[in-house]
Amino acid sequence: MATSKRSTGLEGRENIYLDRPPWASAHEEAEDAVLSDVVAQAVDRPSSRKVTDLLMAVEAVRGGPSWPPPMDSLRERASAIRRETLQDLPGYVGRLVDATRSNGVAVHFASTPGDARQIITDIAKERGVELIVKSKSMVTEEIGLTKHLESVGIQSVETDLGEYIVQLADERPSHVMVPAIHRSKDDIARVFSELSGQPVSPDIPELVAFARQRLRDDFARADMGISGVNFAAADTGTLVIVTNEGNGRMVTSRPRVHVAVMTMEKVIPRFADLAVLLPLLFYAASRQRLTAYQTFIHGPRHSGEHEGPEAVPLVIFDNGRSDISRGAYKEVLACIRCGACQSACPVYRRVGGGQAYLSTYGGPIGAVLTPLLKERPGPAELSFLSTLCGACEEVCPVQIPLTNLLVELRADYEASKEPYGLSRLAWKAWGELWSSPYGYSISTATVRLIAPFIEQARQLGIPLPGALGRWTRSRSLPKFTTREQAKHRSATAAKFASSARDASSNDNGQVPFQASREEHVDES
Amino acid sequence: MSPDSSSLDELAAMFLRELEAAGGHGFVCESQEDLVDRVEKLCRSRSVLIEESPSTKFIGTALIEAGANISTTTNIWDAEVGITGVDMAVAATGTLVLLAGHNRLLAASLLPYTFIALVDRSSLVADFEQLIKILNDRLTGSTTEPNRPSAIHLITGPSRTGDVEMQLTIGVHGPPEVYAFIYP
Repeated sequence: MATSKRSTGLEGRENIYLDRPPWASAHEEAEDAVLSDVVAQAVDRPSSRKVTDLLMAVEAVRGGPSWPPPMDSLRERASAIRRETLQDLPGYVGRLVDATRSNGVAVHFASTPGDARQIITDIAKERGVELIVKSKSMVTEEIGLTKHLESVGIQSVETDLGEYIVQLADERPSHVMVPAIHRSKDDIARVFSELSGQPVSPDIPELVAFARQRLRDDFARADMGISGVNFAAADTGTLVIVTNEGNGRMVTSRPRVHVAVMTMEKVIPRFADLAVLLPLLFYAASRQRLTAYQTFIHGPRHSGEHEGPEAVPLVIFDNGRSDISRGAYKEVLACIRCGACQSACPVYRRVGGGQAYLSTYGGPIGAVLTPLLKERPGPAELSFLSTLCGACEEVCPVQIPLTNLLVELRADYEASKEPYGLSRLAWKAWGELWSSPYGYSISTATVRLIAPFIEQARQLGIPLPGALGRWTRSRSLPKFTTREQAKHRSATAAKFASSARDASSNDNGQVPFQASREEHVDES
Repeated sequence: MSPDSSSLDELAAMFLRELEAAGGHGFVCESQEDLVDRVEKLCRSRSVLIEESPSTKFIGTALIEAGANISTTTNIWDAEVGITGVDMAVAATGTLVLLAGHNRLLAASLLPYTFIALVDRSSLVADFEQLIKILNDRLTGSTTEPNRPSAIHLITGPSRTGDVEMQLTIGVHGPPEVYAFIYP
């Protein structure tokens, strides 16, 4: 199904050497991967160190989870607006549909990714579309849109710089705001050099200029633009699209059709709420006061206007969100996709970004949302990919209780398991044993006796059976002490902790993390 | 609720400061000649795309009368400089606001390398909140019939990205250069 119009931006991409692991692929190769294996591999990738460093540096500049005035009050107001919306999601969506229709927008509903793919493909085919330019949108990732369009012979080009890079490298985006955060400038220079067959310098302004030049032709020739929606105002039907690069303006104004795709919870009650939500989004995402561009779309070009698309279809995508909005996890839908929880999450940073989550959305928000969307990995895996440290909640601009939601997901998963599975029996036996002082003494004495043999076997490389073997493959056993030794050590530690507390009390009265940790280790 | 002249001066000064902070450039022009002179310098020997609106009409004529060495392009993608008026400008953020309409040529604010915005001093508003309020009145029709232009564009400084190693870099798809000239 060859088409006559081909993308300039993608020309030569078959020459790009794909160096990503299979599970980072934008295609189905990721589907068989096991989360725990992937996480272990991801930690070892050299790029993960880089992502950790970049995000730690950003965090240091930002000064942690700080909500100085007026951001603190905007945060309270935004949280209230988002909860108000979730109180009556169907009602606000209904009002939005009425308003957008009266503005001349054709509204389509898609309940599954398959529906959405079909609707958008039909729009493209009816209008003779051969080439599509896209701005960054997470929902189209969830739909699997680009791959599907290619399978029916329509090229769709990602025009956000980070998305363009991951499209060329055949990867999934790894951060909602910085999709190619795991790629160094040298990586990107290599991808661009292979694409163009010309050496491209790893100088960042040159890389940016390269993308500007390569994608301009596609903006000029594309028949259709596809964008996501950051907010949709129910009273005025305004579709808000924010970018820094200007590609959002391009895809919504240059092609003859602009398809806007939104998940239903992007609706906000009133246009006036943007005075709260937009500054807060920018602050949370990047500490900017405003991004370079905010585009408010109402519909197709009016008569007398010089430019703008002739049609603006809006696709409202559900994918299980109606159900989520009626359940115990509905607060996850308050999310405004700022990416702050990702940047702040130590697990996310350590695994080098969202790709290792194997899902459309990575990081804390992804760990909650993915199982609820019934995507894989499910709650058995993803809800455990968190230390529950709570950093995500502190930086969340709309105060989503992410750690609570993760704990609830874990509990639901545990409750859903077979009542008398093997591990459940083992925990029960352990509980019984440690309920009596004798049982406890017997178990610790046993461990003290056999631990030296296990450690010796480990050091000699003698394989141990089952779980014991797996556990000790890369770890040594802790030193086990007698009760008397433990008592002595914990007394010393308590003395240390109290002197540390005194030393810090003139700062903020909080016990330093190290000291409280010391105490904890010794008590256990 | 139109601000008086001295507060307009304050707003203009704030606007220029904030636009500079966002990576753009702004000037208050003392006279029409001053404005034409500054625009002419930026347009010299370059192809220019100018919208036809009350706020820009005299510039085109003046540029030609001044014998400026410029060409008005037929292909909008080839233009090196774009010139438009603006509907509002936000002092506290250095933001230019353009509404789709028969007067506006939005492409001139997006496609060329250099974007020159001509800002009528009286179109300055204080801050983002006030901008949203004014737009809200217009869109919801609280005072008149609802009036919803097909698109409204807020522009704050040059096009930029942080997508490569989170380093702020200027000039991706939109104009790398943004100039705003405030005229009386």
